[in-house]
Amino acid sequence: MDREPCIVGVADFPLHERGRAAEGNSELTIQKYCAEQALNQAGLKFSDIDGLAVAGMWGMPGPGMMQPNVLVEYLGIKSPKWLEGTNIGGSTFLLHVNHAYQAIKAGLCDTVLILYGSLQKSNASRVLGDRPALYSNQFEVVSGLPLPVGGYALAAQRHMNTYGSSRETLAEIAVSTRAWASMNENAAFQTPLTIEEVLASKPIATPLHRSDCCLVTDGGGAVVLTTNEKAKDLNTKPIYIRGYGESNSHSSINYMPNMDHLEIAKNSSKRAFNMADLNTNDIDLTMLYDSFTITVLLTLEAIGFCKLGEGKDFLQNQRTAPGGDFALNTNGGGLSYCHPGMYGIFTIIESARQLWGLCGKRQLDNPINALCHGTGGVLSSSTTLILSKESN
Amino acid sequence: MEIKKPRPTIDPDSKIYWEAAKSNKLMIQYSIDTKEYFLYSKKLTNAQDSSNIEWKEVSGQGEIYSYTVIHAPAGPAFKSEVPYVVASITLKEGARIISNIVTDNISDISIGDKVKVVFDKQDEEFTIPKFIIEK
Repeated sequence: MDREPCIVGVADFPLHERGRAAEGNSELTIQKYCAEQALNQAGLKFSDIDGLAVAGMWGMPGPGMMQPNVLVEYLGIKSPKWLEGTNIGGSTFLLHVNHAYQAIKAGLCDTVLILYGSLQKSNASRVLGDRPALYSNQFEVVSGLPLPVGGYALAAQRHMNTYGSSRETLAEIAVSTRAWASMNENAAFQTPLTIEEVLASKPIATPLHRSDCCLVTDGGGAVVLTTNEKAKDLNTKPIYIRGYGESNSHSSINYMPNMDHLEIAKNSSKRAFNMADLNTNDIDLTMLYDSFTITVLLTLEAIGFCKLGEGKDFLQNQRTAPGGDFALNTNGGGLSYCHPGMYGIFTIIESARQLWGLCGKRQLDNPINALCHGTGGVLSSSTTLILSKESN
Repeated sequence: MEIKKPRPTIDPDSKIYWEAAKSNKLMIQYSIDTKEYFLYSKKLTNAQDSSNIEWKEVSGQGEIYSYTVIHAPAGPAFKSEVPYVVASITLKEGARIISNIVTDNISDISIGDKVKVVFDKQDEEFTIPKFIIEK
């Protein structure tokens, strides 16, 4: 197929001391470093870039409200033809891949750089109560709902009530994810975790406890896409975007249609599978945004890896841990690897590395198809990508 | 120094809700076309094409759709209140709203519990509709 868009380079930012960037960095140096690494991996230069997508929470109010302008200037990109700065939460970067796919396919640009950077840990900018009581959020902010965790807690409580899932169900996810992180030397937490430790961790917003929650770290990432024609001359084998889908439903958790199932993930993944002409049995690696353990449970069920309410059986006995029969979040996820605030880009980075066979100790046996899923806001937005070594 | 709790940024879609609360009334929006109640968002209704909207006083009765007991407060202003309960409540009239459940027994709350509104006066300018469990 002509102008088939593909991923040719990825990078993440090295972290130390449980998720901290080295001193002397800014959100911009983090993104420049990741861009250079991803371009080097592919064998491309900044002068090859003619499309840019970026999202983040830095520099607001101020220049960060127009991040594509800041990055084009900072990186010295000469004549971009296509720009994307949509922000729908942590699911955003999968949407950027989707939109870059369409732009490249349509001939609007050839080579797109997708960027993310954050210093939220170093800047201590992450707090539970900083949100203004604005618009539909005003009611929950006045009630003292810590955000976003309180929103996810309401969904978790509802799911448990409807389907009989339990804290043990959620703990399976935290434990298997940590086991994968123990094989990622860039992960903030690599010491194995037990179900008992998860259950005994301190309550945050019931039924969610500390070990059900993502980390607060610095971090960043980059993804480079180009056409299959250009990819022929590059260092990496192209990774194709076989399917994608996106959807959203609300801003305040109170307006999530049914808190016990993630309708938008069902919709976005269905579109991705239809486009790819694949089904859940064809997926070798599943990378789901794990902002909280409940996010993973809801997403697994919504995508259809198991039926609604059957996640509690699906996840039993560490099925999703290394050596289990369902490879899930092999980088250690937002729960144990890193979570700089908008984690979605790392689902793409890990998928590409697994498909390229670059994952060392945690490398899967010749995966062909990877599914990435992003969740943003308070279960507000869903984005799905199906990445593959094979083109459509 | 006491840290002040957040106050709503009152806008055209919330003004009457907060105004009514000051006189111990619960008022929400209603679509005359689809006969559905809602507060702020029409997302959970079929009233997206309706501009025929009025504000109506409602019973203040409902049931818990979901809830969470908060141990890590939403900032220092709520620190002295932990543990406290935030719930999503389905009103008898059908709308879903979010507020606190006021209770001395946080271990005795369940989804489906019947609740009724109470009015928690903060000062002359601001009253918050909250809920208690009806046993």
